[in-house]
Amino acid sequence: MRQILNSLVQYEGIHSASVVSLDGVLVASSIGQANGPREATLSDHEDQPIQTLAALTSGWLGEVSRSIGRLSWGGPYRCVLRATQRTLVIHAFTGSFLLLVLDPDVDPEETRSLMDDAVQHLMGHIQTGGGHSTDSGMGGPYPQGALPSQPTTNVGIPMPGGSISESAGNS
Amino acid sequence: MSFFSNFTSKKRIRAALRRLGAEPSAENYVAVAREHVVVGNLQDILRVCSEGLSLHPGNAELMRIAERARQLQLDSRIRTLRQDLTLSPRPALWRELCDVLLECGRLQHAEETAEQWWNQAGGGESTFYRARARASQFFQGCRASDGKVAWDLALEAVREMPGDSRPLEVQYDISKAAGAWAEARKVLARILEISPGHPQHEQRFRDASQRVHDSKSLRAGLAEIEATGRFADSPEANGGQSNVAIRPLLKRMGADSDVKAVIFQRGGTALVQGLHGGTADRTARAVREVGVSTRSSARRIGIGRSLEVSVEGEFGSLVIALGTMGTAACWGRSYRKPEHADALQTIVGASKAGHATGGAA
Repeated sequence: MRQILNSLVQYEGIHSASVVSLDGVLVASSIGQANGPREATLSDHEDQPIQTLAALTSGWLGEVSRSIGRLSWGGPYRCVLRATQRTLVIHAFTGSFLLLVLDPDVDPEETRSLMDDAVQHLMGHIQTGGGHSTDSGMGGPYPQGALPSQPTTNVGIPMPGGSISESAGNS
Repeated sequence: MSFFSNFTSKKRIRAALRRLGAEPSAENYVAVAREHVVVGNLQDILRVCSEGLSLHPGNAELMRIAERARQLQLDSRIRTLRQDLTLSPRPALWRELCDVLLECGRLQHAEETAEQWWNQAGGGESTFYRARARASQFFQGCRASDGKVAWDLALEAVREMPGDSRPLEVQYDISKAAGAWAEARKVLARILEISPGHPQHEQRFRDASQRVHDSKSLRAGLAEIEATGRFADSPEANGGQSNVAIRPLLKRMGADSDVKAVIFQRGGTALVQGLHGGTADRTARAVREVGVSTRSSARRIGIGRSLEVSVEGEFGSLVIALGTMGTAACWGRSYRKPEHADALQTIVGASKAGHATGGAA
């Protein structure tokens, strides 16, 4: 899993890549080497460890999912938050999400295929039991909520067809 | 760089320059700049980019290369200054290092450097730079605690160097942003005592005096900034209007077969194109919730002011632009389209303002 994340942060403009469970627990992360001695922080604004970033991002994703879930839209599988200092790109998959922190001048669209590939590899990795899986024991996609208006449980459902890249292409 | 690679690079530069001479297009300027990047001569890169941008203003690639080269130049200056400071620490070097770090937008580093300076030598100047760095963080992240700390540090700097108006100007910027006009007027009165007759400060003093009846306390103003992400002197807070006609833009976007709905929100009012009745209400409410949670989350995470959110799912894509003039959203059937995102940014007045805020800090 770490190798997959390391391959992502080799690209210029990608500060960090993390796999985070939907409840905000950091599963694995890799931080770009180009950032020098402050590589373990999210931004220049504050020394935030990557765990804090994971928890706060997960909270935000939950809020977004709840808001759009009231429209019975289902859960999001890709979210991009562009801000003045950084851009966050989230790609949800089974029970977890892949989170990239980008420079603000990097177009998030450029990371789409990279993230699709990475997610496919991560899902293969989880299915073969090669790494730490956040939904181990669940035996499949994250369970559906009792009501359609509880979208947080849908976040983990990749998309129709069961493949991130196929679904992204269809939508 | 080896002799051979140096030789081939120079050959490629000459070829690129010949092409540029034949046709001074933006692409040829970019090609020459890229060849200079290979050699690593920052001065040449900046010179070519500057020349190219004067002929092709706004070319994104030239701007990106120039910005990167400028950043590398500043990085190099920072390294030199740090080495010099270890050998012979003196106020001029500390001051320049803090200025360069602030110019680069490395606000936390600037504050840490000013703290080192303060620990080693003390003095009002170092306190002023701590206040300035923290105030820049406040303007970038809209955190009330940053504003309060910056205010207190500036106050301390005022006590340490009573004849200098710079810390007072930091206080003025914070009080103005918070809508604490009574405080702003007091600060301006002290600035005018130091530099009497200054036309800009006199104008500011008159403005603050006129608005003093609308004044909030500093604490309340800072708390409001944290809650809303808007400064009291921003166009939206002053009831300013966007220069663009919103309804025609919404209609034009809504006419696209790929677009299901377009929404604009400001305060408690929403304009919805493409949906009707209860569905329009619910969708507008959801967009508002996403906007509010995104603004506050971006501040908590520490990535600055949020500019845009895009969400994709089985429903299609929802792009929300968050700007000073309000919130605009486009619900599309497929991926986010750049032209739609640009139109949304134009509606909310965020395309320039947001980046300018980030860059200025």
